[in-house]
Amino acid sequence: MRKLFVPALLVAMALPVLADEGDDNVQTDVSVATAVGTVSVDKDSSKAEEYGEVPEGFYIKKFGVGFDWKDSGRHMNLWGKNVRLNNAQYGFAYEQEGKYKLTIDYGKVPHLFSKDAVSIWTETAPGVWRIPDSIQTAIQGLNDVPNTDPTYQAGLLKQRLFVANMIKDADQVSLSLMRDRGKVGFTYSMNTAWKYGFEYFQEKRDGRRPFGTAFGFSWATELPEEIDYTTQRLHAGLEYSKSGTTFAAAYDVSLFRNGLDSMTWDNPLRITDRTYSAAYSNGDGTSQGRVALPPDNNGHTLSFAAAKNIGQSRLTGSFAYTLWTDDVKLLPFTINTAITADLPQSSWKGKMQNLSANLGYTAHFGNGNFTARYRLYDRKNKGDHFESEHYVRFDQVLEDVPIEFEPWAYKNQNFDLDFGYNLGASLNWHAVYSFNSMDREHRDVKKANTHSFKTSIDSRGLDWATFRLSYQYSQRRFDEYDLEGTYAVVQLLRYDEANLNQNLLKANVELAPGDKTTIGLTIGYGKDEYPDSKFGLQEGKTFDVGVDLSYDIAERSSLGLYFDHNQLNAFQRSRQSGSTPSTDPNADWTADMTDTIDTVGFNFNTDLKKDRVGWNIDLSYAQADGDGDLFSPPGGTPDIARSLPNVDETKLISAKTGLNFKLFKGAKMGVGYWFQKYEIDDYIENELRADYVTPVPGPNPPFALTSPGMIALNAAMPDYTYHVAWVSLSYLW
Amino acid sequence: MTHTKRLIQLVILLGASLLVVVALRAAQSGPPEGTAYAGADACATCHEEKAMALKETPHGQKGFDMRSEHGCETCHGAGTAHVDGEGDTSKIVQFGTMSTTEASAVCLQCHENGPQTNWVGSVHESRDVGCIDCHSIHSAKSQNSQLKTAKIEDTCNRCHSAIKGQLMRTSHHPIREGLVTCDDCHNPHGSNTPKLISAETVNDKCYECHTEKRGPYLWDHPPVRENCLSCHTPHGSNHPKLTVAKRPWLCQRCHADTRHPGTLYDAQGVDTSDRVFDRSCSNCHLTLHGSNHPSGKTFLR
Repeated sequence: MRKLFVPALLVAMALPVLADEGDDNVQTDVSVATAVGTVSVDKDSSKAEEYGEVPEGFYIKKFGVGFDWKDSGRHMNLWGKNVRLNNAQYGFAYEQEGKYKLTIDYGKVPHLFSKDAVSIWTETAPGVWRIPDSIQTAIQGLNDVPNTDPTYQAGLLKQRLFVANMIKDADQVSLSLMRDRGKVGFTYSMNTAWKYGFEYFQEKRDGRRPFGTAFGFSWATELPEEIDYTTQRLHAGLEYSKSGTTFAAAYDVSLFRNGLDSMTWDNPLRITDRTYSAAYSNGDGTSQGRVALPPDNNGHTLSFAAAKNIGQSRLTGSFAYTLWTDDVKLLPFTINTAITADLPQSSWKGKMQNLSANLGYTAHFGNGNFTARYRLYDRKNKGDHFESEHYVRFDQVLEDVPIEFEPWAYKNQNFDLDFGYNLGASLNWHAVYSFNSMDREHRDVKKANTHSFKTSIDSRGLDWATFRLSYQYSQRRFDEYDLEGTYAVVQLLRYDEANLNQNLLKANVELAPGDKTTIGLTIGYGKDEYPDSKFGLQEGKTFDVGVDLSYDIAERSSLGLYFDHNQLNAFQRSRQSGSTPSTDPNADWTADMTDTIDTVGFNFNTDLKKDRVGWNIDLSYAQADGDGDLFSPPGGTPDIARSLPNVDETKLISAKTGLNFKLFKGAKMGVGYWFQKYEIDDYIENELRADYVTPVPGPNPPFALTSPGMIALNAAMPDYTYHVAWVSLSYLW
Repeated sequence: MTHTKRLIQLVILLGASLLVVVALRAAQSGPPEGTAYAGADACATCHEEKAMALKETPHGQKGFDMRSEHGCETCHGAGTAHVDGEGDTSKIVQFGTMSTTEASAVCLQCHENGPQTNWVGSVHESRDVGCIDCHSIHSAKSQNSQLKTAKIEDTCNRCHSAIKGQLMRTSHHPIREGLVTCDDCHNPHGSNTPKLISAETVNDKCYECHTEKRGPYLWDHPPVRENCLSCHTPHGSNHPKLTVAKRPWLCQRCHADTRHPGTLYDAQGVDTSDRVFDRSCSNCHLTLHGSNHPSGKTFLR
């Protein structure tokens, strides 16, 4: 995309400028801001540069070039920011006022997953991860006996210790993704009523991201997934709008292309394939694993929308038909050559038809208004049929378990009635009733209805105060829940289908006492209850309170203060079973998970010397405190539950300050300092490593010694502390 | 009394309220209308600074002139009486004294198409939010769209402050880094989709950037395909991958089959179970968003 963007930009820029060379009527504005940064790192982590590098050395913070042809009403702008950095953004626009506009945008969106990842595999071709044959042969030789052999377990331990030693010398692997995205848009207004437009978007995604892979219940591995994605979108539309009548039609195409169909990786434990008779194996059957990667797919949408004002009322309607398709050459059931399993068909075609229709009517009358809305979204699954009497789990075992494609689909209908009335003194009351009907195919619940009531009061009667209050109650009920297999015994209802009572209260106050101060207060409380769910999610609660204050101290001097407290709580219940569903209440367990997140921010800026020297400071602190209280009654399995001490607890401290000096007309210089510290305390993330192969002592050593093995990437995002100082220089011509 | 009966009664009550109000309807009040236009030059005589500033915005340029020949008076009404009254503010349209609906109606004369087509009846309009709550014609601070704040996030966060806190969480879209903005996903001017999503469904919006998850897939994970928000919270989470809860407990809210899905994984599991450490369930169930592998029924391939 970048190769296309630069020449296109230069050509686009050159044409109008050359055409008007020497024209006195052209007003030109050029600005550029450069900076030199120096970085000191106390603790490093990919988290610091997750979505963009911390600038070090010289870079252009931003630049802009603008041409205005005053008489003819034409404008051209070229801008860029973060030039030379991995999150650079550029834009170009050329416009004839009221007639046409051409825009070109290009930018990069990085995503760094980890700086610490290691792997014992080497990528020999895109998506192919190998271990040298000699190593595989040597490891297989440590335990080349059937898993029924008395020496098998001891041999497996030897193999894992061999692998653990390999991990010590494993090579670093990069885990980052880059989105290169560009967009060209053009709109043309034939007159004030008709407008045409098109937009082309292309994004190339390159890189690697962590991907869980596994060879069995006791042999999981993690590898980088090679990303080679291209997404293209084209939008073409026209619109007519005049005197309260609007009509629009559009056609959208979206194409996704994956440069890789599959990913293959070696099993360190085997060089030759073999298989087992049972699924619960140690994962040392196959010599390789293979997974199908996301397929090329296409999306087409044809849409129409219309609106008409009729007196004080407005009628709107829209219709969209979307088709999603793919056509996949199926991989074999397994890459394991010791297993023979013929595919029932060599390819599969997926097809989803989505129909969307909306109709709305709003009337304003006197002090009131009324809106009625109907919405239909119908997703039909027209994928090819596929069925088989068997499949291969983990590339290890051929299991005679029938599998069949289920054309899952749904139809969602929504009907809203919204009535509002001005009670006087800019006090508005609203009452909304919504009815939602969900019809599903191939899910536990075939039909569910939701009734929602919402009422709100909005007061804007005072110049200096706005008050908003809303309350919503929703009730979802299914006709029938189809409980099968284990779930007929352990009656867990899935929370997205289960009966639900939902309460939501929100209040917001904005105060502006005087011209200089604004104060915002918000409070929110939500509670979800699943009254008929014996197991599964039982309850979810949210509570939020926020304060936002800003104060203009003087003409160029202001401060802001912000605080938000948010608490999320969820309570769930389940039952542990062995090979058959448990009926023992002592096997029940519960998890009461709470996240408490506090965020506070402060900013202040002022002129130390009027129009000459400015100073600003930004401070923020965000803290998340996660707890997981687990419980299980004694006497069953599990017998006791060890609560989770620290669940994704994080702290982010950020401080930024800068001084800027006006040097002379158009020229400014700045110096600044930025400090950021991030800490994570999580009982999983803190223990992240590559080697889960070597048994580790635990509170229950016999269990630890038989622990399943895993080779991970150590894709950690640990604590970081960064100090950044910079000097900047900007000039406006 | 059954729930259904209560619901029916509430609907009837709502309908009756509506009829009462319709019966009491009053004439729509509108902005004061003068009869003679004074011309933009007359406005600039007293309001020179504003007139000059306006020329740098779309409302002071040729595109605007194509739609109206009355300049300032297009929005503020004919101003001769105001001029003759030596600046009598009662004789000119002043947005500060108008109701939200009246003020927005002025903007909608030209802006009731495109993204604003569904403004009337939208959740913002119905909650008495108007155009000038977010936009400023005379003293805009943003580069685009004439917003009252430099960044769109700051405009939205004035009311949606809880979201502001969520953006600061460790797992987040690059919103605070300036690479994604609110209007990439939402149309604040109205949408047919809940939460003002600018697509037919939440999933359709997510698929714009995560196109690889669109499929269609031979083996679908229906809750995932039905609504990404079943498992993810888009504005920020303190759990990896923007999930609403930590795995494996998130997965265990729906899965309690025999053996491992229903097993309690407690604090001990971090060293002993590949269902807990690292990627938890997706250590093995790697294609949770769908698989086209013939053996991918349980998302292991």
